Amino acid sequence: MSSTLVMSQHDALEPHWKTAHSQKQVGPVRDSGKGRRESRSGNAFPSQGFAPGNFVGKRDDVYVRACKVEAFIYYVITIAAPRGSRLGTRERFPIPSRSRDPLFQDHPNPEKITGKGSGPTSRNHGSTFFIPVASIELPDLPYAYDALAPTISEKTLRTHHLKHHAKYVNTANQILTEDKKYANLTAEKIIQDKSIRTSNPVLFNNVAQSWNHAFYWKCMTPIGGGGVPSGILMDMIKRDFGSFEEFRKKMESEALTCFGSGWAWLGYDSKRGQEKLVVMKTSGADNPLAFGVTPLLTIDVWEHAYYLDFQEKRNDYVNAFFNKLVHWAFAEENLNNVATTADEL
Amino acid sequence: MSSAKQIILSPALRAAVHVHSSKLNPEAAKLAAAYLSSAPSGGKHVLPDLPYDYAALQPAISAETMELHHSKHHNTYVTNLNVALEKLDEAVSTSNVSSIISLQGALKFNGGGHVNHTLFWENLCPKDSAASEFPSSGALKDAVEERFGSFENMKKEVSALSIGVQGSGWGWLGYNAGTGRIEAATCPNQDPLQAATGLIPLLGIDVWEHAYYVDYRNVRPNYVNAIWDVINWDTVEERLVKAKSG
Repeated sequence: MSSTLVMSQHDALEPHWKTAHSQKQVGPVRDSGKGRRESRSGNAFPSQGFAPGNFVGKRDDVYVRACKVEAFIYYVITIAAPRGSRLGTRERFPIPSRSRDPLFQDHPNPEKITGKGSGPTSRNHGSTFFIPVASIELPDLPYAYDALAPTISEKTLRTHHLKHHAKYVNTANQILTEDKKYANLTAEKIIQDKSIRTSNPVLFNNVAQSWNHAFYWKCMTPIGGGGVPSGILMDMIKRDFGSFEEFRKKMESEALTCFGSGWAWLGYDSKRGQEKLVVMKTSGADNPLAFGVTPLLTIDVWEHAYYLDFQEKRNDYVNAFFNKLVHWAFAEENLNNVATTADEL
Repeated sequence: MSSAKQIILSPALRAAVHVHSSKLNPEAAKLAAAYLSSAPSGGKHVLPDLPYDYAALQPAISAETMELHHSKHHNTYVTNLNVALEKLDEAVSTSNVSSIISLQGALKFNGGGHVNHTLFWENLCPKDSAASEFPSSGALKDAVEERFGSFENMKKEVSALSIGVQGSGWGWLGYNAGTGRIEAATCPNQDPLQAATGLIPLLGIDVWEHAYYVDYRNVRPNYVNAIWDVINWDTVEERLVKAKSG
């Protein structure tokens, strides 16, 4: 199909955004005597063709400068932004990680984040992750309240989500409305900031618990829960723990030896020279992000997570979590994020 | 009972109790739990029996909570403490310093759990019993008024601290031997008060979720407010007098 575009006589010489100006030109064109035509508004149009150096005149300058500023801002945001800052890391995990892990290299390029999944980087359940913490909201559960029954009852999910998780979110918001200085930080930044942890422990606890719970809901699924992961994650588990059974034993042990309230995590340690999967427990509201580890999967072992269904039998709860509830696709997606970050750097 | 019978009977009873624990008569469960608490090694520590029935502290604390709390949670601390102590004996006798150090977490947790809960059961009593009324005169009243101004103030302070514990822990009223005054304090997880702060424990309030979740769900303040009805002030005063003299 041949092009049916009609090119005006100016198009070859001028950029498209100038065409509007040329329409306005009325009356005789004055020659400033410098080899350029000047319109009545004082703009000069290059007679030598479209080249940056040929632009003179006020409006051209402003436009060009605006374009250059825009280009600079884009550069700052996407390329030069400090690693780990919110700018430029919207699509990535906040841990600066150029992962040298060979397993990332061995596998074909993981799918880029599209924002359509259910992971923390998606926009679907985006009311907690990677947004200014002043806008933190209580996200909906990814499933109905009775979806995980009989393993986790509807009563537990309702209380856990609408009472415990909601209270953390509300308390965090209360503090943030009173004290504006944290408003532009993300939850991830607050968790990683050692000074906030000591100077404002109540804020840290509530923001971290909001994050932890929003992450925990996605670590469970009513359909296809349990089983084993696949892809890079499974290969890494075999490499770093020996076998899936060994890994599961280790993670269950961490969950059971968490003395008091806390969480057990599977995470990816991207610290230089230590790149590998790790299993760790944290106490209270603590989160692996504070230790340079990217969370992939978690299980809540605060008593309120299992007391109504399992009473004191935490081991039964942890077993049931791995047998029936664990959402490996979410963990794989989280690992993909780490890999994708590496690719883009 | 001869040791042979014990070797056979203990695990059998333990298995039976475990399997049927939800159907057992609470009295029977209570006695069985106390009996079975010692580890197979002969056990150094034993689950103490309660001075009242499981249902005695209602409505502040339900019978179901008391049974779970005493026969399951406290029992587990005692059992695991005995196991950890055995391992410690072995590590000390072989001079395995690494092993000694690695056992500290389990000892602190289970040992603290046993100590704390033993104190806890003793400073509770049925509502409307003679001991549940705060004394109108005596060492305890003087100490409370000197430090907090009034009984109500002391309740408010200890309640606020207990409710404010992040995660699991205990609220305490303790005696500071150095200054001769009583103080309100909290400890995280199962850290025992005296070992962690030097204060001598007078009154403990368990604010782990297992202490109140069945009855109050997430509303810890309701539990803490209700527990003041069942505090055994006689025990608290005894402890204070002993601490002052010792």
